[in-house]
Amino acid sequence: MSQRTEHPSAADTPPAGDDHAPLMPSRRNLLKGAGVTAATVVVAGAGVGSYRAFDNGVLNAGEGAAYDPWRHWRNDPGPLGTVGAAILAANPHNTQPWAFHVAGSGVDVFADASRRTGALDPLGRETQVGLGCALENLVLAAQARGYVTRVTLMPVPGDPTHVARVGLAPATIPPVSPLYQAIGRRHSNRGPYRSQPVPGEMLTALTRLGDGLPGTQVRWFTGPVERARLGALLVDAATAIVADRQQSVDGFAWFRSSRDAIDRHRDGLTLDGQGLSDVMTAVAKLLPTSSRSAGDQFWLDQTRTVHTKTAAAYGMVTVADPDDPVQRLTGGRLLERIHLAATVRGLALQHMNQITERVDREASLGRPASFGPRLQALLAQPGQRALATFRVGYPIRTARLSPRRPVEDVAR
Amino acid sequence: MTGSTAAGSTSRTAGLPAGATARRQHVAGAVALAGGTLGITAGAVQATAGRHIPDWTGHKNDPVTLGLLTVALSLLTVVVAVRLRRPTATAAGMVAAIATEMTVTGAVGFTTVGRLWYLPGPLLLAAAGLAVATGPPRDVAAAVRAGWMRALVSMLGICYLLLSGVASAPAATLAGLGGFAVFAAPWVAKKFPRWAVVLLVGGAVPFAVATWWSLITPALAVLVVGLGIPVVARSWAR
Repeated sequence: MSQRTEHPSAADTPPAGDDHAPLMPSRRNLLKGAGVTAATVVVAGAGVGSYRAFDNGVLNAGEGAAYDPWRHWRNDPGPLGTVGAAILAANPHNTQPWAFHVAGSGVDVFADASRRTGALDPLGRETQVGLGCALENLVLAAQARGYVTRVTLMPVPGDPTHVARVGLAPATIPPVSPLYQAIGRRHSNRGPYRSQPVPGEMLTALTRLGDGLPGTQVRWFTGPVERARLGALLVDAATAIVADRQQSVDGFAWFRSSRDAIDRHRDGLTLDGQGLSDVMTAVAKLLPTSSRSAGDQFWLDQTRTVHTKTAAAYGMVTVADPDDPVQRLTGGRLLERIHLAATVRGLALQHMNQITERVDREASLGRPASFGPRLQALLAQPGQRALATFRVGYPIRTARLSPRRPVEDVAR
Repeated sequence: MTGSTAAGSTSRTAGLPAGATARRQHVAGAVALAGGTLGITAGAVQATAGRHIPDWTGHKNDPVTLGLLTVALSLLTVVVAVRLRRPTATAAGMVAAIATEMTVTGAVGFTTVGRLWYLPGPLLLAAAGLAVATGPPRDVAAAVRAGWMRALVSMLGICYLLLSGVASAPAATLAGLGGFAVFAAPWVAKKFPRWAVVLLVGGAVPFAVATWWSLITPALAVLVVGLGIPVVARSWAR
């Protein structure tokens, strides 16, 4: 492409044989240079985007070692296999606050104090509810393996970390519970739900799951007025948490914003678990990591526009004394049963604990209670107090897996 | 290209005797050979033991695939290093291609095998710099300019290859094959223009369709077609 051919004027053409003569670039060369530069920039951008997709797991959500416990939880037929089921239980912010000691005669369940969520759970309520959830999975898995179980809660007086001992005795293998079968399919679904109401008889069946768990009850909120009132309280609580710097910081500490962080920690909340569409999840992963304040705003917006807007019904596990560890553990077992049974019935469920997080925060700071009385008024169940809140409905999107630490990291 | 070609000697001698250029390239090749060999070792360790030493191997989600990818890239580096160590000097265009390969491998390894790349990575990047510096940079720059647009299209193929390392099984196959096809297309266009178009479109589109929701792969496919077809057409016209 010679200037001489295109622009035969003397002004455009360098003297023949003079390599070092100053060149006036022609318009065509300028355009060509600009085009090449633009193409280079675009390809470089594509390279950066591809690397981001590679590094942040855009194409392999739910795959790899961090998610393997969801695929292998049935493999071990012995007592250790019960731990494989226990670690898939619902738990606060996916902190997985547990440790297990497995012996031939049983399994001991311990709280891992290093995995608390700080100001979000100042009284340890959520941790113990989560341990109750794990205990329920463990019991279901033990029964499926042909053991008769004997559960002792808080077995060692003076040791608040030793939350349960599950004695195992051989028995004939009973029919496997459908709740057990659902353990690997149970996930918190933070996406939108359909407007289709949950049939009353289904909620009644879920309520009956509390039989045999003394002191626990379930309160359902199905009418539009009470759903709206509870939804408003949930949004207010989320707003208060975002405004409370320490709660915001302690919550954000458990958010894993990159694939590297997921693979390293194998715990916490992830972009995959936010219930977004595939496209929006990809966009979120390709964009730079969001700040704490942006993450807070996202959660608040989702609470307003998705979680509370599309809840077909709310449920609340209640006990007489939510400060009692035994009642927390028992309530946790009921919560897990409900989640598993909802999974069996094709229902989605999301745990929504912001109200009780604010109740406990205010109590721990000695501030006047603002959320407790409003929650109690909504509950309207004399003698019972709220332990854990959740929403249910028919899902629009399938929930994705959450990362889990392997059995060998939590069992000793 | 300013160098004259002497029989049995070199096509790239301006400013340097052919023997001196060859000797310098020999040194660059030796450094690359060391880096490539260490890279193969690092990749093999990642593939076989990466899961057991995650602090060293970067806590990777799929150490086996990433280890094998590292081994493959390092093997390619060893091949080009041997090419660079020939007794006769290598032409500027080939030096540019070799330096690019070393740079890509040297950079990619940092994200595939973690700390295991701390030695081979700098060696390969240094070898790339040495290779370019072995002769008149003007010659290499001219060669780079001449093949720049084709190189850009090939870079898109490398993006596909990168994504093949993390995509799930069926899509990974599409990405791997597509990556090689897109990479090769601009370089075969002169001899096989129609095949080059087939390679571009057939390499780019299936993976993009299979993973449309990722946004990045459809964007790559649009770039491959939008940039690649004119590049291929120009090679054809020449």
